[in-house]
Parts: sequence; structure tokens; C-alpha cells
Amino acid sequence: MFLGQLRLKEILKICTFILLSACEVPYKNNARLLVKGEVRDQDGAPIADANISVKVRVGESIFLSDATSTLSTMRTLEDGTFSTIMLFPVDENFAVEVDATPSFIRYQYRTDTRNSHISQNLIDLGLVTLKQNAQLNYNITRVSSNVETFYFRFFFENNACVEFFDDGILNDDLSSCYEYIDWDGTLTDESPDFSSSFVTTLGSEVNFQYSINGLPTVTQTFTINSLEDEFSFTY
Amino acid sequence: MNLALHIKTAIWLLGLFVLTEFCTAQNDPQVINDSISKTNSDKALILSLGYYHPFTTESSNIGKATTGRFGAEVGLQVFVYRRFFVGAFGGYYFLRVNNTDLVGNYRRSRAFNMALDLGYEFQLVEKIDVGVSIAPLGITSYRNFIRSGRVRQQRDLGTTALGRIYLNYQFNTNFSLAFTYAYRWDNVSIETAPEIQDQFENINYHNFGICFRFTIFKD
Repeated sequence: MFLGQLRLKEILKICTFILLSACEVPYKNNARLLVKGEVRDQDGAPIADANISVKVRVGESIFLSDATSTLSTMRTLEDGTFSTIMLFPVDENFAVEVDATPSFIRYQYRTDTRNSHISQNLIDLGLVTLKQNAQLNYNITRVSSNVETFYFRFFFENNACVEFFDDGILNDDLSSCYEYIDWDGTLTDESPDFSSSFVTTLGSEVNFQYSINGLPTVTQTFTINSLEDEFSFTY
Repeated sequence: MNLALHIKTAIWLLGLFVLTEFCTAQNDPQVINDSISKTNSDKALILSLGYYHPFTTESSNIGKATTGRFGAEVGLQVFVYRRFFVGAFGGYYFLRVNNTDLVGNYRRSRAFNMALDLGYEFQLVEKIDVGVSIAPLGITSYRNFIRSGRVRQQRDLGTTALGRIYLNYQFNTNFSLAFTYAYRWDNVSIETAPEIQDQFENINYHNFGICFRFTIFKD
């Protein structure tokens, strides 16, 4: 019985070791990686104190939990520049994250350090331009009594940018920067009024589409002009 | 913690010194004769055990970012002709990383080095010898320990060269104590971005140490 328990423990240990080994992010021997870049806003002004994180295993999970591991963190200097020297991780899901939230969007540089060629052991993000975040508060109010259903949809710029690079060249198919996303809903007699908010980017256009009682959709377009903009609509 | 370790080592050395002096004092006439005859002998085999304190120089990022903690070496010297000797030594040196921004995301290193050396030893005064040696070709391996994550180690491999000078005090024919200084060049040639490459070529040290030498064979 004891021997059986011992064997079971040993087997479990070996299985765990094999599982963890399969998930390991090794480091190259005799190598150091230099990660650097410069962060500015849309007007070209440097962004200081932005958080820079170098991560591996981004988007992976292990035992149903996030497997992301942060290898290095730093902040941008007054002139918006940053650089870090680190051991060279060999990983398919390597990322450098630039986070200047809540004022600015979050940017991610992704590459595969296992299969891609990292020229001269250098990952240079170059100039990273971050758009400013802006919040749109909207109110939709019913004033007409002969409307049974009101369908609406906001179509707006997402406040995130993820760029994938293969051998240092941007992969457009995998990248998604400031993509338009939508937010929709249907109002009925039970809940005729609605107010909420979402975050998009300053200076971007928002499409507001609506349809009353199943009639053809009408579209309104407006620009986000302030960091906290308002939109009111009555039907 | 380092201070405590140094104090313990010093007490241990002092105890050994007193004990040896006591034994030597009881056989004084014989020892003097043995000592003289040993230094003049053609062939001898000496085993040495050394404790070192490495001081990294600021010639590289690794030197700037680390503090040497201690090192231990084992060596073998064969006096092949008169006072010329060939030897081999190997040991471990321990470094603590103070600034990970300069070297990468690891906290400490353990460097193993092994080399062959050539040297010459001569008698300065009675019971006291001076030795010099060079070890032009050796190998070194730095094992860098990472605090977090599943992979805890990474290695930097390279070559090592060393120049050493020591002052040796003979207690008797079989035992002596040497105070040594060595300058060590470790060429690790770590590949990195061109703009920082020159900071990752070499790791240089000043090594100060105490070495116990045991004569295990004498012709």
C-alpha cells in the first residue's frame, strides 16, 4: 500500500515535471537582449513614466490560468525613451507592452523569439505613438410613444494596438491597431431609456446607427473632441 | 551574512595557524632543515586549497553590476625542474548581482573556472617563498540564477586567463600557507546589441586569497 502510494507520488511528480518542462521558456546561453524604444503622443510630445513590461508566454494558459510571465519592467524617461538589457528568452509569445493608461492607449509589440530571427540581439520598437484615451458618455431617451423597439449600435475605434513582427517585419494579418469595434443594444417598452459609456480614442470618429421598429438603419457620425465627451439621442 | 562568514573563516585560519605553530615549535631543528631541503628539491607534488575574495573590475557591465562574494579553489602543482612548476587548478567563484538593469534579469552567478598554469617559485628568506605563475588557457562557465519563473538558470561560457603571485610561508616540510593575489581575465563574449557589445566581452577580477598547501610527494 505504502509502496503503491509512493509510486503514485513519484509518477505525479514526474508528470508535473514533464508538463512544466514542456512549458519552460529557456534563455539563450551567452546572449543578452537589448529592448529599446521611444514613446510619444499624437502631437509628438514624449510620454514620461509609461510602464514598459517585457513578457513571455503571452496569451497562453497553464492549468486553466494565465501563463504570462513578466521578465522585466521599467518606465520611460522624461524624453520618452526606454531601454533594458535582459537575458534572451526563447519564446513564441514574446511581448513588449507599453502602458500609459488611463491617459493613453495600451500598445503591445509581439514577436516570436524562438523561430524569428532577432537581428543583432536587439528589439527596437522605434517610435511608438500612443493615442489618447477618451470616454464617451451617452444617453438614449424615448420621447415618442409609438416606438416599440429601438435598435442601436456604436461603431468606434478600439483603444488598443497589438503589432506582430516576423523577422522584424510587421505582420499585418495578425496585427490589430485601433480596429473598429461595435457596441449594440435593443430598447423596448420595458427599458426604453439607456445610458452608459465606453472608451475610445481622442479625435476618432464614432458611427451611431439606429433602427426604429425594424425600419432601415440610419447612421450618424461624429468626432470625439474631448477627453470626456457626451452624446445624447432621443427617439 | 558575508561579514559573519569572513569572521568564521578568519577564526578557523587563526586556529590552524596556532596549531601548526605549536607542532612546528616542538620539532624546530628538523623543520628548518626540511624546509631548506624542500625548496631546493627538484621534484615535488603540492596540493593546495584556497579561499579567495574576488573583486570585479568595472571593465564591463557584469563587473559594474556585480559584487564578488567568495571563491574556493583546488590546485595541484608539480615541480618538474628545480623551482619551475606546472599545475592545474579549478574552483568556484560566487557573485551577487546588484544592478540587473546592466546585466539582465538574474540575481547571482556561480562561476566555475579551470586552467593549467606554469610558474616559478623561489626562496625569499628562510621559510618564505615567493611564487609567480600564469595560466594562459582555461575555461570558465557562469551559471546565472534567476529568482522567478520556471527556468531558473542560464549560462555564459568562455575562456579564462590568470596571472598570480603568492607569498608562501613554510610551517614544515608538508604544510605551508600562501597569501595570493591574482588578476583574472574571463572572456565570455556574450552576444548582444552592437551598442553595448563592448560591455559584455570580458569579466576581470582582482582575487585576493589564502591558500593552504600540502606537500604530498617530494623527491
